Amino acid sequence: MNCERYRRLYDEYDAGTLHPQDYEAVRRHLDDCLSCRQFFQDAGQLARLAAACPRVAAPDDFEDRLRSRLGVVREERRRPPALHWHVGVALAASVLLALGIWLGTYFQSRHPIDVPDRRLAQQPATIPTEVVIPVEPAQPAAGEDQIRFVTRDPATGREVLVEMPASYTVQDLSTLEGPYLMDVSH
Amino acid sequence: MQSATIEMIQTNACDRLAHLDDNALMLFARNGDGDAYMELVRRYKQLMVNYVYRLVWDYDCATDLAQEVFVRLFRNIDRYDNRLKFSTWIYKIATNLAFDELRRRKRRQTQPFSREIESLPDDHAARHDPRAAHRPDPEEALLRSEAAQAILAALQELPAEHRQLFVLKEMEQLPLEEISHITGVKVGTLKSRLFRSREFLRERLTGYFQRGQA
Repeated sequence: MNCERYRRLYDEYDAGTLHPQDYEAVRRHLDDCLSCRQFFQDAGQLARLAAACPRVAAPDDFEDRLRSRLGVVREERRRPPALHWHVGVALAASVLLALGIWLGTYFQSRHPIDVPDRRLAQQPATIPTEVVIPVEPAQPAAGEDQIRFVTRDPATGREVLVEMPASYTVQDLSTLEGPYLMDVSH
Repeated sequence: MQSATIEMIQTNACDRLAHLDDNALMLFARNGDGDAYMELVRRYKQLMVNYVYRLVWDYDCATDLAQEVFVRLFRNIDRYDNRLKFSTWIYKIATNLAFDELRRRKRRQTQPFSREIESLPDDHAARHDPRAAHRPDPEEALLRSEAAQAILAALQELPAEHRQLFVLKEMEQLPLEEISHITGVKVGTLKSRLFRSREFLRERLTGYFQRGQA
């Protein structure tokens, strides 16, 4: 063991709680090492000085003040548990949120939202791949790598013009984004 | 006559409780015995005020926090686990409260502790405060001995976690295992931190050690 490891054993050495073998090892080391002997001696003095440091006294009215505070706590315990304001706010917010969601769902089911054409053009394609049946032929014109066809969006019932690379498969339709999709129902 | 009877009853209650250990008092207190709880307060109030004072270095704050310790203890009396030593439990609450206070101060960036210590003895409020008589008198609490003053000053320079361990070990004189339970720090780490604290304090207090025949 090096000196630092012996010094870490000071508390147990001082308290006499070290294993006898370790105690003997520390004692032998202290016989040989002046620096560690000095450390143990200083640590002992430090402990005595620290223990002798003046202590502060609790004020005379400590117990009286405490009694009155404990009286308040007892009173609180007797009362039925009050709703804390933040719990109340959280509950009210939850109720409002639930009401909002319910109202939104209710009105949407009664009046489906009519998406403006401009916005539709910017939306990702909503055409499920299984119902993509081109209304117009979808062959690329000579020299072009795009195909165009008109189909019906089952979600809105409108006719839409789809433009997409000729190399795309039908499954790729679900990944089409806005610029490819234009409402031509008007 | 009536007051004499009340006094006699109170004396008997104190006698009855004085022989009980802390855990037994807590069990009585949990069953609604207010006298048992106040007996615990009497046993621990000085220890708590002192311990918290060594951590926060502000007497008024220390007495307030010591009060809060007993209030928290009372609020959580039903959760008391009598397999733990009572002292471990109460020191743990005091430690948490003191460290909360230190964290609050750090956020507020208040004046350094050394300034608080210096301002304490001649604090204007002390002359008007009924509790002033119990404030640590400059000569009694801080300047009674040069070495004590030097130790207290050097302690303030230790990081709070190290200071807390040194205070619990050398001033409150608790065993390592109990300090470990209070602080949640493993005994091996405790020994390392105490070693470093001692090295630091030795360096600061070299002049105060009597170097005998080493």
